[in-house]
Amino acid sequence: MDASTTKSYWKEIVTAFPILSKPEEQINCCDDEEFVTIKNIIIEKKLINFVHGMVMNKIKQDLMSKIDKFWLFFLPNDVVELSCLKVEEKIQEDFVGFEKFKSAVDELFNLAQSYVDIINRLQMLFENNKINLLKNLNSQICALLHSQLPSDYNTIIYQFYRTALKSFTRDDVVGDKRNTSKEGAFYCHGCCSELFACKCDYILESFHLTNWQLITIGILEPLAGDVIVDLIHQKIETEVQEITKENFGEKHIPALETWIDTNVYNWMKYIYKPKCNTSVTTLALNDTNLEIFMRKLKHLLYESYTRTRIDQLFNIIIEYPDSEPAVIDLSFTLQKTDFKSELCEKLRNALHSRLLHPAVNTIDIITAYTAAIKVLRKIDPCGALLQEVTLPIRTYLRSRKDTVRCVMTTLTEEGHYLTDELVRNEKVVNDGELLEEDCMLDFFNWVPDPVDANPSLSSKRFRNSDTVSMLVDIYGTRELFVNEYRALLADRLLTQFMDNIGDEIRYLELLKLRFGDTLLHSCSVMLKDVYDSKRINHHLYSDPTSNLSSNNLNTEFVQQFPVRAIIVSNQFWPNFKDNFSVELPPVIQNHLDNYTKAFESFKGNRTLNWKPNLGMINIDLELRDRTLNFIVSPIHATIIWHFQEQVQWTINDLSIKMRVPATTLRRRIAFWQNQGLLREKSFDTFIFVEDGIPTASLSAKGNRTSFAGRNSEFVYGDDDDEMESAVASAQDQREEELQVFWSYIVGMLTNLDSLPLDRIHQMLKMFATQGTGVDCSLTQLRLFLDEKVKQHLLIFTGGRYKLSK
Amino acid sequence: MAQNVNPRLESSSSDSPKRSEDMNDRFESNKVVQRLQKELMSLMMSCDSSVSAFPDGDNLFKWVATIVGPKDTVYENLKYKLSMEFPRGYPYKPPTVIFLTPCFHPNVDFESGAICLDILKEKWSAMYDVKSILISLQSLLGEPNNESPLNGKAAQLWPRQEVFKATLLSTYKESESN
Repeated sequence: MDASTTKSYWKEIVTAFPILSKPEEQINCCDDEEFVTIKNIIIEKKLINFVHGMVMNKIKQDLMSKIDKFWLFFLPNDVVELSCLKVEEKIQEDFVGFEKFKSAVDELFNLAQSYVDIINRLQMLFENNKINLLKNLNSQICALLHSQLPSDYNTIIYQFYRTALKSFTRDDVVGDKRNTSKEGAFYCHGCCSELFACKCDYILESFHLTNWQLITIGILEPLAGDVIVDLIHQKIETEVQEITKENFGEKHIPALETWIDTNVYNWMKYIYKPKCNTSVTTLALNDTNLEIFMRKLKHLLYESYTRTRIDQLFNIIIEYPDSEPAVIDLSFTLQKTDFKSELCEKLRNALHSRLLHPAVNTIDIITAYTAAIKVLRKIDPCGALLQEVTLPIRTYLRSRKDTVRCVMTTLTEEGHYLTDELVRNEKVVNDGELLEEDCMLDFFNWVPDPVDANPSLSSKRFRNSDTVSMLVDIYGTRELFVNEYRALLADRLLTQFMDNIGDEIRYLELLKLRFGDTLLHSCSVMLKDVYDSKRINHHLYSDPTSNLSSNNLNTEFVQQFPVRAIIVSNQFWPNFKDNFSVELPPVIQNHLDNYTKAFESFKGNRTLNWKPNLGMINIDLELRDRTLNFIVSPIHATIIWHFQEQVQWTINDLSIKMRVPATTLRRRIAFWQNQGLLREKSFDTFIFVEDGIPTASLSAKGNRTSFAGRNSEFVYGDDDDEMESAVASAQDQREEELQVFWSYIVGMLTNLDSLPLDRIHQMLKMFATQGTGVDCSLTQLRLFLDEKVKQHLLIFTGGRYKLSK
Repeated sequence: MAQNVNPRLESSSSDSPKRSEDMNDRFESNKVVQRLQKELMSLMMSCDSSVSAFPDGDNLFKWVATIVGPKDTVYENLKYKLSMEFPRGYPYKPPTVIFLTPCFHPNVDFESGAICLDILKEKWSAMYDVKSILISLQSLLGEPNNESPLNGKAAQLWPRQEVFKATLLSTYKESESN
């Protein structure tokens, strides 16, 4: 081949691919027919690779010189901090960015299109379609673009997509959230310009075009993919935040799912599948890809929903059962996400900072605890979560003194929700063994603990137990609760006398189902006592042979002061706090003796042992101008009784007369002082006042007339002292338990001479706690032992305790 | 003697192989622990201050006991420490009881503290417990069995109470000062 033929060939090739010519040359492009002959020459002379290489090289050089211009659009024209702009300005700024991006893509697209012809010709040289030159070109462009990536190129892309998204979702409404702002009428939600100048349509149109251009060049995903995903994430995030804001009363998941399925899906389709009938759609995401993407987005939706709900979980618990829909939603999404440990952590923190501190009433903690039980059981039926989260609550409740009392009060209070609970779940749960058996019975429904459950805590106990059992479980023993119930019951029976005993029997039966007969045996005896007392009272007053009956001689005497006794079996009732007795007026004492005699004649070998510090007396005080009616304790009545004989008493005299300690007496007198009937004339000397005004009423009502006109009835129990229960509480029982420890300690020290504190503690733990189920911390023990040292029962030397001889 | 055999152990060991015996053993020792716990509790709850016992350290099978000499005897107001070791077969086998405080007594070996008492040996019954042992020992102090003495000197001196008491007190003081 000589030089001239080579040159002619070259000329032909240049006419086919004008790009190969030198810049100053003017070459007329050949038409398609000519190209066919040229093509044949190239193929014949095996110049394909040479030509291909030459052309691609040229294109590359060309691109490199022109592509900088694309990025020029992305440089911020003036340095404005976006964050300090107002919303409208921001939107304006966004719009500028939108325009910039649009023209940048436009230009790039034109540039890319200018090579398409050449590429197509080049493609024709290759017989087979093994090499897709267009694709190569696109990736070349992409690579070149990335090689010159400016640092903040994302800003404009964000602006572009944000503007478009705003316009796109201007009519979006999820659920029934509607934009009702005043501007709504005049401004378009999409572009925030006045309605008549709405740019939305324009925006969407150019958006559509730009996307199509990007897809054609194949750089939509590499260039803007991150931004699109990020914006969608933000959108979902804000949507979820918006919809879940302190609103627990509705289910939101279905609405949000539809929102994702329709609006977001449309948006994605809008971006990735522009409705242009070009063959290049294959470059965009195909259907399955979009499906996968949507699934990811849905997952994201669940995640952000779960996260917001977890943050609100404490409030949800507090508002339960009103927040039930939110709980159902959460239990659904929690299964799809992996947030259990986070939920645990967050909820525990929330509980710790908002619930478990001294400012919260025990009863409120218990309410929250029961709500938490219900909520967490809904969320996680197997109870692993429940156990882990509520462990701190249980520990904390254990440290509160009034927990047991609160629980038992709420359990047996009329109309309380826990009472309903007690009635509803009449499941017999006797002890651990039975529970185990239960598990075995329906082992078909058994599900293992979830993998993320804490393996050190067995959820076995929490699987089946209901709310009440969970409450009782706080202390781990039923005895404590039963004892407290006994004390409560005793209190109630003593103060309410024989009224609604039917209710009490009902509660007792319910409790029996739960705690078992044996533990509550003494309570049944107590109720029977009350019932029997009623019968005996009735009998003694109606039996003609009794000295209390109406056809007896001293009828008048009896009717002057009718006695009704509650006869209690000392064995079964809790210990009474009879730290003092009271000497009743002789007349009253006579009545009581009379009653005792009647009882003795009725019951043979038995007699009565009166507890004058308990019980109640219904008295009428006849003053100069009015009659006052009170129901008070015997000690109160006795005080006022003594004032009818003698107008003035000193505390000391009264104390001797009544055989009541002066301090106690002073406290009781305060009641009458409050009623305005007694006045402290000088220190420790009280006088009776006929026309006194009750201070409580005075302060409450401000005028006297409203009070003086009518007979007022006061139920005793105004001052806090009176509210103290008559029976030993759990606190006192604790003292008794410590007494048990004391005998162990004595035994220990008798035989082992002297022991250090921790050794004693250890020994007690080992030998003394099994039977009683009582625990005693090291500090408690030290306090206890120090007390004994003070009482000279122990000697403490060289860090060891020893019995004193 | 039949009452001193654990019926459960008897019946199972006759027909079951070694492994179940092993299991049985563990089960049994658990029973023993429970029994000893119970005894300790009842002992602690009883108000008798003249006898007392408590596990020595962490081992529930080894106790230290204290008895006070009964009134109107030469041992009045003397305090004696004893050690009690319970076998695995308790209460079907008697515990080993020895005096820790040297005891000058016809039926007690002064050096080793060993005790010659029939209920701790051949006349043991599962009905006895720690408290009854201690009370028996307490009464043994006042009423020795001079027919089978472990301490010949003490047995000889016993009829002459004043001399006995003097010897007793001197030995007791010696042990206390040690």
